[in-house]
Amino acid sequence: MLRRAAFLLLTCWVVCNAGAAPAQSAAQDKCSYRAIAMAIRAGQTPDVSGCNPIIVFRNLQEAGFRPVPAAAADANVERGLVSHIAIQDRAATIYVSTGAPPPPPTPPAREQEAAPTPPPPVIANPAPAGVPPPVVADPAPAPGTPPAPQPAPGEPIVSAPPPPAPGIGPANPPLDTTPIVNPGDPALTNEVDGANPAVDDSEAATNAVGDGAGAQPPPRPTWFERLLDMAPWWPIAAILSFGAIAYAIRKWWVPPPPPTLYPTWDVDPGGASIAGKLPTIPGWPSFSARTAIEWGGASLPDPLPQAEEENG
Amino acid sequence: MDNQFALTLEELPNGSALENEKQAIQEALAEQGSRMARLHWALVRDTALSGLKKCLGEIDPVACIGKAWATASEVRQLAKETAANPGLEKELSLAGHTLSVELHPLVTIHCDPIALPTLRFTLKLDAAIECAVLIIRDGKLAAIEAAQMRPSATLSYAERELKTLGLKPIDISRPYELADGGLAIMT
Repeated sequence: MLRRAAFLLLTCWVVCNAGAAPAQSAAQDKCSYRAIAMAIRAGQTPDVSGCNPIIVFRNLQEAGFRPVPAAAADANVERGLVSHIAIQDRAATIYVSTGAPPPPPTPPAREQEAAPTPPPPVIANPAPAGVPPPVVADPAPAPGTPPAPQPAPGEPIVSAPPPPAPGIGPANPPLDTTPIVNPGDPALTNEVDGANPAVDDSEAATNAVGDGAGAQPPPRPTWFERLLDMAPWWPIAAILSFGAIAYAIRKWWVPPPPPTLYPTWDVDPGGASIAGKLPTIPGWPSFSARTAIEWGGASLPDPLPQAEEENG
Repeated sequence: MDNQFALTLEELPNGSALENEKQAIQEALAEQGSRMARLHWALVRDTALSGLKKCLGEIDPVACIGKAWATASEVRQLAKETAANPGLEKELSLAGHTLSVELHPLVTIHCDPIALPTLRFTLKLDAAIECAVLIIRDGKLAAIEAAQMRPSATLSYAERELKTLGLKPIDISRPYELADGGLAIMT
């Protein structure tokens, strides 16, 4: 019984250790550090579309890159997941999908003409002194204006909110200039901590992968991931339950095997014989012998040699 | 009278001797159609051996030799004379000679209610007599004295010798009274 219990516990341990591996699907394998590293080593750009940006971010960091998240509209990738990445030298830009791009607004020509020059965007979280000013993205740049420069690695990224629907809200809402923080990047983390200590890494990263409308909820984990997070010991419980059910089935529904009969014997070392007290078994051979002696004759010299008188 | 010379023939038969004659004994026991000896040979053999030992153990070799002397004409003449005169005792001194006595131990094995055919063994007692004095009284061989003899016994079955046993020499000085007042002598 103890041996079986030990074997059961060992099996549970093995299953628990190996539980994460089968849980990953083939699609998630490409998000792993190994797949990313192999692709980079082969001189290719890793295919991480559909991966969790946080995981890709960390894997790229472990691979020696300085990842920078960026938003990108991609109708083929679910919102909040990685659309694609771009690698140049040791810098990697993670483009997080914002879903299908919205249809371009078509304001009336009169409003366009009457509209004054939009004021400069309001910086929600101004950077402290010593930090380079954030790049302001103009939602409607004037013709001839050079495009907004791509953020250098480590620099905060300013994303512009999508234009509001006509007639709703201010025509030119202030842009959210929350600095985008690379989780694990010490420089950026310090900057964020100095600017807004209440914002942690995950929140900053969430803001970074959003489409500029504010904090975005993290990607919803699958039920299996939630199960692994909440109860990583579930294989043990499952195996124990299965064993209990199997034992119950065997106990109550499987008939027990027939008992094994075997004879035992012993020799009484010195007890009184009871053979004489046993009843006679009918038909049992009981042998006895009766004897007699038959005279068969004698042979002796005739006449008998008699001893002489003088010899006696 | 007890066998004061400690001569016993009980050790003469043994199991191996009977085992050697297994086939002959089984054939003899199966003469009347019984298969008992073949089916239960070990039991039959042991029963026969037990009966044979018991039978030979009751034999007094000295008495057997006396019976042989009782067949001699000289001894019968003296028995006739003493039988006619009660209280008269005659002596017969014998010089060296040899004699032999043949006995047939008969062993009948019973497996109730069946009785198997009787097994007839042969016991031959040979004795080398150096000297002996026979005392005849009341028509019987009453006692033996001043006798020196060297006996031997041979057990056989169906003309096949099973075993020969040399007995220790018998040296009788004082009169050796035979049982029941002596051996009856046919006159």
